[in-house]
Amino acid sequence: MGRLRGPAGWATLGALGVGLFLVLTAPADFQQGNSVRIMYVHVPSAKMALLVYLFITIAAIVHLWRKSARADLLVEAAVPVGTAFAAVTLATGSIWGKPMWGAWWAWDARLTSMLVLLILYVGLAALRSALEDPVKAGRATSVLVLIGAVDLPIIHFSVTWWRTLHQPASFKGSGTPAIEGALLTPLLAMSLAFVVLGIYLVLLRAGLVADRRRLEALEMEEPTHG
Amino acid sequence: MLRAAWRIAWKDVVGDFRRRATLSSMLFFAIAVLVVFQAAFEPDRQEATRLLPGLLWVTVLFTSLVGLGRVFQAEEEDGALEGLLLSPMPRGVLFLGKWWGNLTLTILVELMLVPLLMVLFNVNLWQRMPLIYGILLLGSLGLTGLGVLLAALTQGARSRETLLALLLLPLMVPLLIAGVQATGGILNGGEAGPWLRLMIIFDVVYLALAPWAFGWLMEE
Amino acid sequence: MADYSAYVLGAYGIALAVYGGATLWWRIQAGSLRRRLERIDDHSAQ
Repeated sequence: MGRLRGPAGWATLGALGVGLFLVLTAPADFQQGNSVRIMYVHVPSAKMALLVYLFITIAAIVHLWRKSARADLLVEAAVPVGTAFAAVTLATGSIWGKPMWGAWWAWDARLTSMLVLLILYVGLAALRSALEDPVKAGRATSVLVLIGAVDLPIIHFSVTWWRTLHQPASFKGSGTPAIEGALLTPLLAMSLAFVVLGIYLVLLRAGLVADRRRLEALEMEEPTHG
Repeated sequence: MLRAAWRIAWKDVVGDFRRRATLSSMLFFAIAVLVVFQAAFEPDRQEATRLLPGLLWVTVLFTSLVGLGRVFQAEEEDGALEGLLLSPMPRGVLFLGKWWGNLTLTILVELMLVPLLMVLFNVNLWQRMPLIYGILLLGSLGLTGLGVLLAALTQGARSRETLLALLLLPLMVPLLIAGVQATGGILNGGEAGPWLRLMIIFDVVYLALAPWAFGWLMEE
Repeated sequence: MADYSAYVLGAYGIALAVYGGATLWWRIQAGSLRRRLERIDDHSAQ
C-alpha cells in the first residue's frame, strides 16, 4: 500500500486543480448566484462522508468475520478521514443555508443524519482510544461500526417522517437543488477529486497506523528503546 | 438455554436489591431530572400537558444511563465475567440474561415514574395510563437492548460512563422521536400508529443484531 | 441579485483548513513515526 501513496498524492493535487478550475469558470446559477459554488465542495464532502462509512462497514465485517488485523487497521485509518469529510459537510452546508434559507441550521433529515454521523465518527475514535487492550479495542470499534450502519438509515427515515408528518417543511428542497448542464461538470470533477483525496488520506493514515502498531510492538519487546 | 439467561437476570435483579441499589439510584436520578425540568421551565398546566411526552422520554433516556453504567459492574468487581465466559453457555444467552436484568429494572423505574410525573406536574392522565405503559415498554425493549450492547462495548474503558452517554444518545434519536410522537399522539389525540411501527422496527432490528454482536465482541 | 462571494470564500476556506490541516498533520505524524522506526532499525543493525 505504501507504494501507492505517492501517486495518489499527485493524483489528488491534479484532480483538485482541474476541479477547482472548472468550479471557477462555471457560470453562476441564475437563482442562487455564486452561492451555488458552495455545492461543489459540500456535495462531494457529503458523498465521501457516507462512502468512507460504507468502506469502514465492509472493513469491520471482514475484521469480525475473518479476524483480519489488516481490516482492523483500515477501520482505524479511515475513521478520522470520515470525521474530516463529515465536519466539512456540516460547516459548508451551514454556510450555504444562511443566505439560502436565512438560517445556519435546519433540523431536516440530511443535516440531522450527518450530525449523528459526525458524532458517531468521533465516538468510534473515542472508543478505540479509551480501551487499553488493542485487540479488544479493535473488536469493540468494529461492532460499533455495525451498530451505526444499522442506525443511520433508521435515523434518516425517522427524521424524514417526523418532518413530513409533524410540521410542514419550511424550506422546500432542503438539501441539494437540482443541478444540471453546465453546473454538473464541475460537480462531477470535484466528486472525482474528492474520491482520490479520500483514497490518498486513507493510504496516508494506513501507513501511519501500521508504523505506530509496529513501534508499539517493538517497544513491548524492548522497553529500553522507548 | 433460556433458563440460564433467566438465572443471570434473576441473580442481577435480586443482587441489585440486596447490595447495589441501582433501582433506587435510577429512581432518584429520574426525580432529580424532573425537579431540574420544573425549575428550568416552570410549566403551567397547559404547557405541562404539551411538554409531557418529551419530558417523559428524556427522563427515561437519561435515567437508563444510570442503570446501564452498572450492568457489568458486579462481574468487573469480582472478575466473574471471565468465569461466565469460560462456561459452555453461548454468548447470546449471557447477553439475554444481562438484557432481561436491565430491562426489569428499567420497567420498575418507569412504573413509578409515570404516576410521579402526573402528580408533580399536576396533569391528569390516569385513564390513558395503560397505553402510556405500553409505549414505554415498547421503547424500553430497544433502549435496553442497544444499551446493554453498548455497555458491553465500553466495559473496561477509561471514563466509561461519559463514553456510554456519547454513544447511546445519538443512536437513540429514532427511538426518542418515535416515543415522543407516539405518546403525544395518544395524549393529544394525534396519530400514534406509524410511530409504534417505527419503534417495533427499531426493537426488532437491534434485538436481532445485539446477541450476535455481543458474541463477536466476547470471542476468544 | 445578491453577491454571495463572502459565503463561498468562507466555505472553501473552511474546507481548505480542514483537509489541508488534516493532511499536513498526518504527514508530520507519519514522518516522525518513520524516523523513530528507522532509528530503532539502525540500532538493532549495529
